[in-house]
Amino acid sequence: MSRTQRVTDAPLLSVRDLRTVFHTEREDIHAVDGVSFDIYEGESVGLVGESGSGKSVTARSILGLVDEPGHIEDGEITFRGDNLVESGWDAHRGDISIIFQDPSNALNPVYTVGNQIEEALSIHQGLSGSDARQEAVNLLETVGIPDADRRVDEYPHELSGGMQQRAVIAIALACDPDVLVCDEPTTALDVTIQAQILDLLDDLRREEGLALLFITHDMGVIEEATDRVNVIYAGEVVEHASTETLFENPKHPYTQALLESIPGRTDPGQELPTIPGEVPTPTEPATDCRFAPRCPKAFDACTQVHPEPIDIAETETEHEAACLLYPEDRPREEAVSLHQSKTEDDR
Amino acid sequence: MTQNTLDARDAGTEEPLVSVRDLKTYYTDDSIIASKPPVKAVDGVSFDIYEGETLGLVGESGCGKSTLGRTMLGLETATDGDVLVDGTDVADLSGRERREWARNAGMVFQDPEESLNDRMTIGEIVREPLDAHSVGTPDERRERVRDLLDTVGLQPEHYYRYPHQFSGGQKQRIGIARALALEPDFLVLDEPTSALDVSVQARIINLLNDLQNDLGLTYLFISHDLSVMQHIADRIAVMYLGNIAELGPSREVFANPEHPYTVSLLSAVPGRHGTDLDRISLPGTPPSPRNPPNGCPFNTRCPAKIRPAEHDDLSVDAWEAIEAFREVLRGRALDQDGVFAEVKRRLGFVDADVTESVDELFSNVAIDGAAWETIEDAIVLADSGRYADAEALLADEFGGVCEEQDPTNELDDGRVSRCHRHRDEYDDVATVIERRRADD
Repeated sequence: MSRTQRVTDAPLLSVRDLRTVFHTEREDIHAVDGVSFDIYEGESVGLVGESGSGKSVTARSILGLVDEPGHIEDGEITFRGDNLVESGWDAHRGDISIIFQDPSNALNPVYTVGNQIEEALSIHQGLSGSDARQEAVNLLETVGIPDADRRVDEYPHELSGGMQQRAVIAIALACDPDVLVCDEPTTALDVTIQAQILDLLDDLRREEGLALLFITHDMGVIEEATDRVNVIYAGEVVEHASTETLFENPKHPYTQALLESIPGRTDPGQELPTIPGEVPTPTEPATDCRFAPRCPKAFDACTQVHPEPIDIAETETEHEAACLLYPEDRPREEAVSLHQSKTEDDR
Repeated sequence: MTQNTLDARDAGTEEPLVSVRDLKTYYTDDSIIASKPPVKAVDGVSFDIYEGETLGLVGESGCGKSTLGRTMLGLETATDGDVLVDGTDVADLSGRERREWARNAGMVFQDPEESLNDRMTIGEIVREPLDAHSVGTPDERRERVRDLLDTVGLQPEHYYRYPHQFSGGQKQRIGIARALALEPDFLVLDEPTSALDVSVQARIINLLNDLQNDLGLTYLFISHDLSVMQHIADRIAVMYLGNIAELGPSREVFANPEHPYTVSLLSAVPGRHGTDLDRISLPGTPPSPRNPPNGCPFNTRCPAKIRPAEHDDLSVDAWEAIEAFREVLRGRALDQDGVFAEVKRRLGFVDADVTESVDELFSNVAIDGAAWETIEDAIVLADSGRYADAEALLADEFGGVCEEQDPTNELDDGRVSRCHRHRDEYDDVATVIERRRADD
């Protein structure tokens, strides 16, 4: 999808300053702390981060699936012009669908695969009886399950892990979604099966115009499967770019460190670059840079000023980083005060 | 495998520390309802591990790599074959000798959450092997545990804490400290970083490398993650369905994979840091180790499978349709045997007609002559529920050498690849894959 097209089209799904907080007896956990990104029709967007980064909570927030004691405290999730946080999800149930990491947990063991697809078809498309069954078989064929006529009557345990994930995708498609959120969709699968599932999702994107949101910790999957990517750390998006740009020219120190720590980029025999410390649990809204204690490039202001997203695009593709090092062409003090005034504007 | 001495020299020695010879581990489950064929988790593997090296064992889930590691440590009983250490077969040791081997070989497991007892302190967990083997006095043991915690980068005060107070990376350090307690020479590391985030994984990998250098350890490193393998392994063995498909120096296998399975596996790694190979999308899933195919274990999915010369004229699409049809028949034939299928039959479930699947498969491909006659005969058999017979008919017509003969190693210079394609009378793997891709 070209940039010019984007400027004229409105995004299909737009997340703005999303804040999801879990209130526990001991403390509040700001799992998602001001996340913003867009997804356009037929494109594939990545949300990448380590465990505890808030990526899965972001996914659940988008679907309206945040469980107690979690709440969406602030922000907008706009789908086709409707702010779902205000209007609720009911009018758009099925328009945004989700698949999870472990397909065996997502399937009900006591119903056949066909029953489960037909249930979704009946709720979301009003199909029943032989129409629903025929459509269920068609969907299984769409997701590449061989011998679909027979498989439709099988129980989840009769399918292999890869086939189960295909069945889960078929159920998600039965809701006739515009956006499919894929939460670690291939993490439980072997590499050759992962390749099949990524191919399938890409076919669905190109042929059905399905928009994909990939939530994953796997940079390889991000590189392979997405057009644009958001790097999330401790509840905040720290960098946002086209996938190609992010891998070729990562700007945020966290993205740089994360990419360097992947084995295979360092010569065998050499020490792998590491990131000291642990991902913090955000118990307060961010007032400084959450990565600063682990950052090799941190300076004094990093522990006092909250970094705001700065446009650092060198070419016409978009590229933003939330780091006080930017804009690079300004003197450091000036850059820091730019971040400060942006934070104040937001309040 | 005398050729391996070449690479062993790189790793610092020529003597194998452990030699595995034609090792087999089968699991039988004799249930009262029906007796099934055994699960052939490890089905005849041979290799050497040299002192001070890291042998990487890579393969997909269910290929038998964990069972192989566990069998080498005596945690599973070998069905056949030898695990030789100093000329002694440690696979069927008992009593004192078994304990001796248990001291000299440790294991680190994948999931630190599950491999650490939550009701024991870190000190007790790490000290347990020392207690079990009555090493030194209690005071000496406690001192040793403090040293071990320091070795793996933990603090002395962690001694009295419980596992739940630690992060995943720290828990894996505890698992490593426990494995090191008895000063082993040899460690089996079973997916030690798979449950960890990349930034934590990097630290554990660095720790394992440091320990190997400082303590002269030898590793069998089991992983499904090829980029981890590329970083840590000196040599690499690629396993598929209980067999070693390919083995060789890590650098060479990654730069120049020989076996079609290795080629496919490397091409499937997402992201550009995998390889420059064009992605090969393997059809289907690995067969069950309970019913492995005849001949080459990889023949049901192989992108370079040798096809019988008399069917040279068939197109790539035609072959895909035939293989897919055979996969359907195999699936149905296997399901007919199960107790679950029997229950379904008795409850009046009727198997779906095979015709629609057949129509779907063959609707857009041109096959004629003897080939099509055989397929039609097979369809007739399948229609009457005789799936196994239909598949046997197709195997006879379309099978070829990969289904008829077990492949043997055809390479030398420290490399092993068990594939018929390496023989002079056949085109090589890369040429065939390229040609089939071009024809597709």
